[in-house]
Amino acid sequence: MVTVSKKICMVGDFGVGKTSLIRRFVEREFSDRYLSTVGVKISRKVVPLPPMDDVDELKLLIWDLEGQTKFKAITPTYLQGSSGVLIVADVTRPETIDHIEDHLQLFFGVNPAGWVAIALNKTDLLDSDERTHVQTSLELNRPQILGPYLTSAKTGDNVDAIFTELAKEMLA
Amino acid sequence: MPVSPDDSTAPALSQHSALSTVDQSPQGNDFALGELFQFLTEKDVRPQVHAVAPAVAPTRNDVKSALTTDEAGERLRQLLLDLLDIEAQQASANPEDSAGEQVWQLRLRQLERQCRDPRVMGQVIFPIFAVLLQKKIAQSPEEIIPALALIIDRVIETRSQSDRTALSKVLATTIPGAISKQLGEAPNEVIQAIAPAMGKAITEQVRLDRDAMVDALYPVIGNTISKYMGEVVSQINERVEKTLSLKGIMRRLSLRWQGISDAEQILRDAIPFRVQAVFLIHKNSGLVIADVQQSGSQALEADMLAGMLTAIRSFAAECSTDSRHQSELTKIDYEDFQIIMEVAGYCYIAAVTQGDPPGNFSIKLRQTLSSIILNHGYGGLLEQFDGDMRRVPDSIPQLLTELLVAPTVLEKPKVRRRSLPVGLLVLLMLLGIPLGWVYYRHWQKQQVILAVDEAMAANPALALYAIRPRIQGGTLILTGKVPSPDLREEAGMVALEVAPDLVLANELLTVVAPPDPEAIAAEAQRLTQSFGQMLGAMLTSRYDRANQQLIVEGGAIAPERINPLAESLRQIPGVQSVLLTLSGDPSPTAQRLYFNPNSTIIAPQEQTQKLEPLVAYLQANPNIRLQIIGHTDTSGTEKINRQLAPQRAQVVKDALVQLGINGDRLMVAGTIAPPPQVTESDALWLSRCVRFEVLN
Ligand SMILES: Nc1nc2c(ncn2[C@@H]2O[C@H](COP(=O)(O)OP(=O)(O)OP(=O)(O)O)[C@@H](O)[C@H]2O)c(=O)[nH]1
Ligand SMILES: [Mg+2]
Repeated sequence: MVTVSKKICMVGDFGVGKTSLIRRFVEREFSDRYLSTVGVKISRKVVPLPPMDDVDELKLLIWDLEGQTKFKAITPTYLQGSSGVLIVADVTRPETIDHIEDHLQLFFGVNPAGWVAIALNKTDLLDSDERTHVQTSLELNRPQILGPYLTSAKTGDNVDAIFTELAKEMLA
Repeated sequence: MPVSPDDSTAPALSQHSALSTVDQSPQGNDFALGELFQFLTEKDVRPQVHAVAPAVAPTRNDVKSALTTDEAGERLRQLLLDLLDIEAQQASANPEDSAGEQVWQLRLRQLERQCRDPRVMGQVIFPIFAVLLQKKIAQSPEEIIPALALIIDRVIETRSQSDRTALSKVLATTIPGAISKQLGEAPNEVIQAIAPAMGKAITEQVRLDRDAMVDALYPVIGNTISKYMGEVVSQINERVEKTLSLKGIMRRLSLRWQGISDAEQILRDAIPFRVQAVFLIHKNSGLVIADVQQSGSQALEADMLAGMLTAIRSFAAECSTDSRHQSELTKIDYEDFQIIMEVAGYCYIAAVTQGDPPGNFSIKLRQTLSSIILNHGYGGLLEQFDGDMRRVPDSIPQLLTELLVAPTVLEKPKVRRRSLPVGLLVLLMLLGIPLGWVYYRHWQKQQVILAVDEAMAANPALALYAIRPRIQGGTLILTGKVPSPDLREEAGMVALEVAPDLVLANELLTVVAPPDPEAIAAEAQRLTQSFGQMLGAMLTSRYDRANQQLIVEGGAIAPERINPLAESLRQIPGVQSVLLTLSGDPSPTAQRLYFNPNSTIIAPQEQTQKLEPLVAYLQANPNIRLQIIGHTDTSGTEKINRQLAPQRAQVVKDALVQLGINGDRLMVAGTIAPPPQVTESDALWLSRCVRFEVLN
């Protein structure tokens, strides 16, 4: 049994659903209550890998960082040693999507060779027209960037997919 | 372990920034250097200064002895007369007239007379003394030397009293030359002469210009010094913190309020040191490179713990206001646990410990981390660790396991003796600074202290208490507190065994702690017997003081039923282990049935667990006949008891008959005496029983 461990971080403005995405991915649960994260919370999820891989399973250590505001910059030290990052924005709050660029720069500043997946979360709150609009209005044609994925922590849409895709790239 | 930054980063988190290098924390090192040197000079140097002095120069008393002075005066007078003779001869060689010669003769005689009066002679000779002396020296130095030798010290002394600067000036030019010559001819002598003052000299120099001192030494022994300094500083910090901190005082106060004595507190503080788990953690990512844990205890979540620790460390680093010092979080207190960290460039070791860590544990941590880095760090394994466990060699967990098994046993000092201090010594000698030995001495002392520490830790009775050895001069001083005079003596003996060359000053305080062996034994016995009552079995316990072990003896009881007892016995302070020696397979006839006070009713569990097996046994062995003996406790009147005892036996006989045993096989008897193995001091219920004896 070969296990490889990787650290990934959740980055994004406050209240976009970082903690909710982890909760959905790890515990298969969702709650409407909003408990803002203070500091860091670490979760672990073992992701089984397809049998042809020489690694049997991937142990993801997911660092849930507290959301950024204008006044509180993220601590770059938390991003150190992180093979990947999941940048989350809230589709109902356009400014959180505008901030994706800042988060990208911050992460690549610390880990130039790291991988990024972008989650546009809370898509359950949009109707299908709005969804297509969000998807096309974002241009992120850079290497090492996956997505954007339209996710919903509430319904579970694309949640497993975004984590596993990111995991696969980090192992490759 | 549920560490979360929300609650553990704030006030609970105790941070000791690493005062480890000389240039980073000047104050700390100043203090430390001073302390170190003072420590070196205080006791052992002063006596030696006195011891050496007489060899260098005779003391005043000798010079002033009347005999020598007289002799010297006489010799000097002779010498001067000789000189005058020469003058006279030369003068008389001039053949002018005989009258002149007579005058000369006269004067000479006069002079000779005056010569006997030293005062006059002095006046006469003084103006020409130098000339005369020069001449004589040129002619026959051998004569001058012994004469002057006797008073030369006095001359110098007098001169130095009257005009010290002048004398210093004269000597100054020659002394360095003299010393360097002597260093070449007899280096040992010089070293021996200087050595005792060395420590003092350094202290003084440090006081005058510490920076220069540090700068001079740093390129050679910077690391060594900084390590020593770090150690000393942290020891001091620890001491100061423990004794003076507000927290410490509050703690004491609150304990007083709660009515807990100092003595009890010592025992509480003295939880034996134990390493629960050791992790090697990648510094940046917080991923676990290797982890080892004590078997048997609940496993800690290595990944999560490592992640949280790393996050907390980042947080602490971020919060440290002073950007010049890179402060490192080295210790976290968490409930009963302490997480001690030793940090290197790309990874750090975190040891989850319980109890007060002995001083050499941090050294051991550092040794372990060093060998990991030396063996594996240079290939980039640690730097580029990416969570792939296949790349981690087995030797890393092996090294970590050492910390679990023998957390305080350091590598053999001998190895270090060869590698470190002698190397230092040589280097320093080459530089012309015989400082090495100062460090060597310090290092030697350190080794002895470590050895004493270890011996204490290895002694089961002493390991429990914080005994601090320290060396001052040739004296080994033990401080700390132990609960009994016996232990105090024992500690002294252990220390002397390790360091037989030193004089022992046993300053250990004996504080009578409540759990003395008797108290432990009594408490254990109470617990055991009431537990036995619950199980309906006779159990007794003994306390083996030397091994701090409780031995429980009694009839057979299933492990799952007796384990709770063992557990609660282990909770008694002062009990290290519990040994259960329960008799293997008891014959049903060896069982005793116990009764409630004044009762003759057989309890249901006694019926099922003891009587029914007995019936089966009797049916399997039809030839066996039983004597059934009833007992009572000592409470109640003798009259009642005399009735009660045989009644209990009768009740049991009836029960057996009812279960199908022929009454002819069963005899009944009763006594108010306690049954065998039970004494007056045992619990009463043990005597309220019915037991069996096999007849024929
Ligand atoms: N409808 C809907 N609500 C969501 C979704 N994800 C999160 N939420 C809600 O959004 C709120 C914030 O979610 P969190 O997961 O706590 O957000 P966060 O990014 O962790 O916030 P911070 O920790 O403060 O940075 C909560 O009330 C969630 O219930 C989603 O996919 N759909
Ligand atoms: Mg959150």
